[in-house]
Amino acid sequence: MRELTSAKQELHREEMVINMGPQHPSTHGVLRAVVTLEGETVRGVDPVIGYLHRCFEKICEQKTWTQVIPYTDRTDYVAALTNELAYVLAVEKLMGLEVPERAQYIRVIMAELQRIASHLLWFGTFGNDLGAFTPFLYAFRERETLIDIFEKTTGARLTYNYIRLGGVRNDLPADFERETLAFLEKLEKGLEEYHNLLIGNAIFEYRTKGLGVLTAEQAVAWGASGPTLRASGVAWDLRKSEPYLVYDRFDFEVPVGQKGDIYDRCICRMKEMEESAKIVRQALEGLPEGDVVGKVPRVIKPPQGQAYAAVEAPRGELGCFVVSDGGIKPYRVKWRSPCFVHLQLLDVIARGELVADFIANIGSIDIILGEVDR
Amino acid sequence: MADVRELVDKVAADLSFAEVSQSPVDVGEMVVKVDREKYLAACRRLRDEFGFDYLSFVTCVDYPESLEIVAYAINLETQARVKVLVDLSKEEPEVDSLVEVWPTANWHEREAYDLFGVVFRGHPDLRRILLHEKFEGHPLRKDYGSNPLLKAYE
Repeated sequence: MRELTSAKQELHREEMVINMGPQHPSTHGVLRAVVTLEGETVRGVDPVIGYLHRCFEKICEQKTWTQVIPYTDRTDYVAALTNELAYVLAVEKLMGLEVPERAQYIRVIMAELQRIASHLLWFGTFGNDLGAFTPFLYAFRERETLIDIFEKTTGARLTYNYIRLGGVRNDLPADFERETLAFLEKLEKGLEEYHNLLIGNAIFEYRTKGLGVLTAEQAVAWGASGPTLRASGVAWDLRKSEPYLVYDRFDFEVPVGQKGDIYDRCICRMKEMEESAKIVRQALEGLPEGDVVGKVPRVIKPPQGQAYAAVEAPRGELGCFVVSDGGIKPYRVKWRSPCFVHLQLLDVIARGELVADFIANIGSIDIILGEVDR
Repeated sequence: MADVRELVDKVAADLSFAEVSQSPVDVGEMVVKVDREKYLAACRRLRDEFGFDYLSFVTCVDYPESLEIVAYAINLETQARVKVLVDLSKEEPEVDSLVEVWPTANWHEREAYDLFGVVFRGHPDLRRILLHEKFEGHPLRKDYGSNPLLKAYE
């Protein structure tokens, strides 16, 4: 007996550093996480990024102001329309361009549908991360209908190049309203199904409740935004606080969590889909007649200066900071990507937890590596 | 949207060493221009005294004569936004790190170091972030040049 206790005391304890990724199925792209483990407990995380770096900001400096728009699609490729919106709003702010009301409504509709599409993809892949494969198929069934609507409107399934300086490229197709309303009805049923299937599932609750906790102070100090910030109880939504476009005309709520754990982040995203559906319905009802592109000069030459515009993207505050020297090309484009900021948080939320929950933590901050690395 | 005109006067009175104005293109944005040595103090004052508790981003712009550091912060209560600008000479691109004021500055500053070669004094972990460790040069500098293939395409 004595021998046993002494053996226990001398048990070899050592921290171990392991590499997760860059080709790990649950890293949502190409992310390497250098994880320090003590047994099964995570003692530190150092995310290594840059595997998808394409010099987006440098490329922008070599294109004309309008040629940049399709490039923005390639940063966060599952929410391309919101990327275009951030860039276009920044340039419009710099130039003082007027945008027709109909175009603003169309932008709102498209941005909200994009949010639904992005959250559906998150829902599917997050279930997958936790070992539930079926939700993925369910979410993609709904998302496919939505992508078809996007394809009909913009001509592309993922990278749209639809939102242009001064408006949008073309008007909505004739049966857009009918199809969208039909989709929203389908989504409502789908969301209920998702709830029964995954969110209300006891295993899901065990794996998400009380884990990956981010307090409100931490969230603000570390620059979290979007559902990740709101799940911690901070009701900050750019659509409410700085209503760009015509968001101030719609009645919708901002879902806020309390504990800031993985579960709250999930619930926030699920509720956001419902709110987005509400906005789309109201926007379709109030959609005014008129032009979809305003008066835009043939050659875009914004006056010298700097402008920053931010939009509430599905993942958080997506901002674009542009600098013009008065020429036909941007002097500098800075992409403020929410995922880049959130990835820093990984160390904060995963430290002290089990390595098995690390995957759930990555999934819960909803990162897209294309946007992190740019 | 919050109008920062009144705030501009208050901040100008408080930060006597800074040049404070309202952005010409955005009524909700205050522009604070400071010297390099007063940068950290100004940012700390803006956070503690004026409630700018949320840092949106830190970046750099390479102008012909100087490098300009841009730090963008938000007051989550009043929705006012502030842009802090600092000019750095190209011979000595060094400035204090904001990590102790806003922890989120960590990666933003690493990115500015990586792509512009700006050294942030007091940064806890200043290494390259997007490019690999052995990469030479700082590609977002204007003198770095561009991809010859892209030039041929033009």
